[in-house]
Amino acid sequence: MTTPTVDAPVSSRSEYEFGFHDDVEALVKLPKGLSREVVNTISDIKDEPEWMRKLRLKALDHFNARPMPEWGGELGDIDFNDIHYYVRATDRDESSWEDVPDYIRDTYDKLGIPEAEKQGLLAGVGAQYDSEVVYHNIREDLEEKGVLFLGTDQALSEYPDLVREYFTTVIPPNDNKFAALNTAVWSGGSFIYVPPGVNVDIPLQAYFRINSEDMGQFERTLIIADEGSQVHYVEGCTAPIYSSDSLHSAVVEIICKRGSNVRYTTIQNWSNNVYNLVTKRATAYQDAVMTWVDGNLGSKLTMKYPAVYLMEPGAHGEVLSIASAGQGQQLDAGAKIVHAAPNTTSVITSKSLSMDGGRSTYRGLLKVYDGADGCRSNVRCDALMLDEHSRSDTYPVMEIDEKRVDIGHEATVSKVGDEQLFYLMARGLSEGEATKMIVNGFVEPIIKSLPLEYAVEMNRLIELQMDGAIG
Amino acid sequence: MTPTPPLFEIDALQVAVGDKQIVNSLSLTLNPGEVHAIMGPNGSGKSTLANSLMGHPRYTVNGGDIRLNGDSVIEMPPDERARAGLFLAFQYPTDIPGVSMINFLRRAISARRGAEIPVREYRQLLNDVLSRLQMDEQFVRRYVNDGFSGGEKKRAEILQLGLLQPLVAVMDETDSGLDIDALRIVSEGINTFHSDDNAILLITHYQRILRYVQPDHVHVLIDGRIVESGDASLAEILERDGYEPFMERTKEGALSS
Amino acid sequence: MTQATIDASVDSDIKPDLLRAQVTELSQANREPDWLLAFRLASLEHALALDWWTGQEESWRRTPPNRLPRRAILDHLPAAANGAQPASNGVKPTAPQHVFAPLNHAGLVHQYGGQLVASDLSDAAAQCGVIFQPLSDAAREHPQLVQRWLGAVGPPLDRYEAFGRALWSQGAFVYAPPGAVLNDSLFYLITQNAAAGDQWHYALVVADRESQVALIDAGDANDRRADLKRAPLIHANVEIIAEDGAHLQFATVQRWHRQSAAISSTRGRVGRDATLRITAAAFGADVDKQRIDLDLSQSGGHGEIRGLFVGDGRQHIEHVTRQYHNGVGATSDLLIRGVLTDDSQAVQYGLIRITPKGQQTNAHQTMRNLLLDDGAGADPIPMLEIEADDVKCSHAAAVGPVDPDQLFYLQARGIPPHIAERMVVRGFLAEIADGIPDQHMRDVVDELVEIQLHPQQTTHQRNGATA
Repeated sequence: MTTPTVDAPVSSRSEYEFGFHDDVEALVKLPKGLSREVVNTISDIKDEPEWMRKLRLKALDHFNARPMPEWGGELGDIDFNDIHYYVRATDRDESSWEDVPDYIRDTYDKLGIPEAEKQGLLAGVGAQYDSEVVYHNIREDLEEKGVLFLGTDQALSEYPDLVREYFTTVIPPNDNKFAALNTAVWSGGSFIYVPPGVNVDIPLQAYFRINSEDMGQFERTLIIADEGSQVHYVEGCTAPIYSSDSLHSAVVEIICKRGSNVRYTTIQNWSNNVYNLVTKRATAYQDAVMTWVDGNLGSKLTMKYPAVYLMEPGAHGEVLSIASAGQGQQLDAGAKIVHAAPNTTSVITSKSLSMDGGRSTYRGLLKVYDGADGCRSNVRCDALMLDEHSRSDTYPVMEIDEKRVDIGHEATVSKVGDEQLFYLMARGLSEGEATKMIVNGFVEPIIKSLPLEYAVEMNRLIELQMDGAIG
Repeated sequence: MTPTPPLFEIDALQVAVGDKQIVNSLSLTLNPGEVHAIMGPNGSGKSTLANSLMGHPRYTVNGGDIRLNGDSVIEMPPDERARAGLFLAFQYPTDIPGVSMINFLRRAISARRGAEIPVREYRQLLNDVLSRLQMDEQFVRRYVNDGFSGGEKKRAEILQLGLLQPLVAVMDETDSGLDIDALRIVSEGINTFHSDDNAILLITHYQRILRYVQPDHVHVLIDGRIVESGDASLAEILERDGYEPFMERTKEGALSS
Repeated sequence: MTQATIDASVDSDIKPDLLRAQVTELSQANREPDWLLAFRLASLEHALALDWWTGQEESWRRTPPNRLPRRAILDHLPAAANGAQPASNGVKPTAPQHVFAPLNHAGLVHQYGGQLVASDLSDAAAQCGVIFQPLSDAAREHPQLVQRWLGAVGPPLDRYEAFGRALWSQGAFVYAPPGAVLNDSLFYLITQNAAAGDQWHYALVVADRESQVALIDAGDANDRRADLKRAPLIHANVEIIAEDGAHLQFATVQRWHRQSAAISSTRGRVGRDATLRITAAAFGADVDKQRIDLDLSQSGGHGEIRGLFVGDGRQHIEHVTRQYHNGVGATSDLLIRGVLTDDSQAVQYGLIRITPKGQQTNAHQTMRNLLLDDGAGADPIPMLEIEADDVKCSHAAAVGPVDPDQLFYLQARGIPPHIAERMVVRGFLAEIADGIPDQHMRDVVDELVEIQLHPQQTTHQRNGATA
């Protein structure tokens, strides 16, 4: 039996409340380092079809062949030989919290997940602990309608044809170095299939937790929204604070078929020793709507640019992004929208905060192919600087090869306005309160698109970070 | 035994913006229950006076004092002045997108009272003041001053006056830009607020609002100085003759000094 | 006489020893002082140590890989090497009949094929001590001034700029002494025969404390309709210094041969409370890549970059700009407006960089591209890198067709569509053109816009006729 312990904080963000970890011997923990042998062992443990093993090995070659990206953040400190690529704490994916080992359930209790499920706020819940999914459950009525919500490993064994049909069709193994790495060593993640016309009315949620030290988490999520269906998926992420760094490198692929509506919400609150290098991309077909809501608060370095490829007329892509970078953090986030068909529309709204020496970056690509006439896109990026030690960058790229389009981009960088501050202080608010209120107002356009519980949580997390920064 | 100090004293106040001296040795005393009007032409220092009373960082007080109930507020940041009972109705209220009125007002009331206002009481209070000002309930769902018309902004200031119950209210050209109906509503809001326990300082260019809010004292501000004080009849003289006679007199004074 | 390399390939090998010898010969033929030869040779060594662009670099990724030569050759030593002209003071002014020549100018330098064709300086300019002459002559006659400022904007930003400092065969020097005020513009005209091969130009413009001066820099090819065997590379280095309190305007207009590849580096340094406006209008060339760099390291400085272009055919027009704020309370503004017809492409790669020292900076960027034809495309990339908190920064970029509401409004007033479109387009560009410091030059630019758009009109008419 183990009890969770709280580490002495290694960063100044002592408020980080998820910094505890469980002292427990993992059931399986591959030695550090990456090789064909490691990839083969992961594949053996999972007892996968041969095509997946081949795909993994091919992806490993891509990973080895590709240079490290030279843009974005400092990646040179990542030692790929000092990472455990697979750590399994328990050998089962349960559908009842009762069956989940106590110490893992305690962790999720502390994060409030089972409680939210019990209250009926969620249509389904998944939980991943290190490399494997430890819990998945979905409301019965949705299951009866044919909605699938399970761990991707489990999906591969139970619905191999379905997985094979879509796996890597949105993000090929050689898309980028970290997508290649994920494809080689992926484990866990959620698989969702929503049949035609089915509306999953309240969110499905997954919670990702890194527990082990020097660990790499490489979950792989695949969502297929069939024609006219609707689903909202929410993921949260936390990790303990260790003195050495962890790597989280996920791949998320989403297929939005005709007329479907998918919303994918992330509240990323990794501890400040996690490299968060994630590839997320969706394809949207005729009249489909894909929305990424991306909240980035934690991690040492995040590089993440949720993408929507608008493949057929009438498709709409939207990215709402918040990044709040504090001490020692670099959050390089943004969005990528590709208009590959006529009469497609997109909106990107990004709000970033930099405080306490943190660096936040908006990096975006908006591409309109020749022939994609009638496209409309509106990009709006605002950055707020809370002190003179911090940094804010904006790198938007627009590539427009079609004339009958309406493309607009606007960005601003500013500090908290003196007049606004004076107005609020003239009404009795202290400078700290007034600043927080203005910051809340600044991020409000994104926050209000979150489900209520998450909106409250997001505001609370930003305030917590500001408390650390303002002192 | 020391006598009770006046409610609000402006004592030989000097205010500069950058290198430019705007307010020159201005003194004024407000007792509980009084309404004072300060009238002046454009550029006479009206807004500088209003903003510096509230402690706006752009204005430098380089002489004199401001006392509320005998205590100097000159070193206080704006929020402390507000909590102590000083209120400024802004001439140009700032918009703060993303911050809802309802959230902002609750925080402001709690700050003024020094304790969180219970939700039920807050709702009751809000509804009372809103209906008195003939304002729609939806009004407070909007962001602070964001997209408000000129009249809405001024009414929102009066709404705050009613909710925060200050001891001294400084009204900076609250009447400007209002049509007659809005002016009447705003004036009623001021009159409803006014009691024997508080005092009002109306700063205005026009005599119009003084028909609705009766001043006990009227002061004429020229070049940052009070050049004449009197009762309500002084406002009528101003209405009839304009500011020119007073400005002439200032010039002569300046020449002879 | 050195042989000309007629080579159809885009890139060519660099021959260091030949270049060293040629640079020395060129400098001596121009009777340049020793220190200038040393400057050229040092720049050459610097250039030799650098690499050509590969297309992998962020600011080169969108440059067509095979249309901007990686080449540093001196096709010919200029005519000046044959000892044609004495010092510029000796040349009697005959105002050139060139279309670009302004009606009134405070001074003139006209060069053709490295040779001084005409020069002139108004009495007013001479009285207040303004210097305006070919760079080699100025180096000889005003060595302290030229030596002090040449290369003072900082080390070269790329290999072309480094080669440009070594290989230039024609150049000009402008100096306005402290307090000098000129009402009319100075006019620097370069005409060339594109068939003569690659060109390297160098201009140094210095406005000393509290002076006020404007320079119009114009480039034109005489043989615009010739069919060339090899596309010439036309390189220009422009170094601009606005000292404390100076007001300096620099406007450049080019109409190079349509097969040429133009690359320029315009670098401005803005002193305390000084104002510098750089306006660039591009019409000619197959590829035109302009780097414009503003260094705002002194408090209260104000810099502006204004770009205007009309692309047609398969022209590629690229602006790489930087507004570098390293001082307190400086302001800058970038405004680029372009119109793209046929299959032309534009790139605007613009950075506002504010260091921790750049508090109270106010910096903005606006890039607007009008696409008139299906094949046209634009990639605006406005970037911000901000390390100070008390700043106001913004950028905006837009790409789209002519506003149909505007067209409709004009049509509703009886104006035919193709005229209406040109009215809207010219109105769209007017904001930039109006910033050019000379009325005649504004008219010229307006006319060039018209000429460039002209095929457009005929296309439309043709389309209309067949419809």
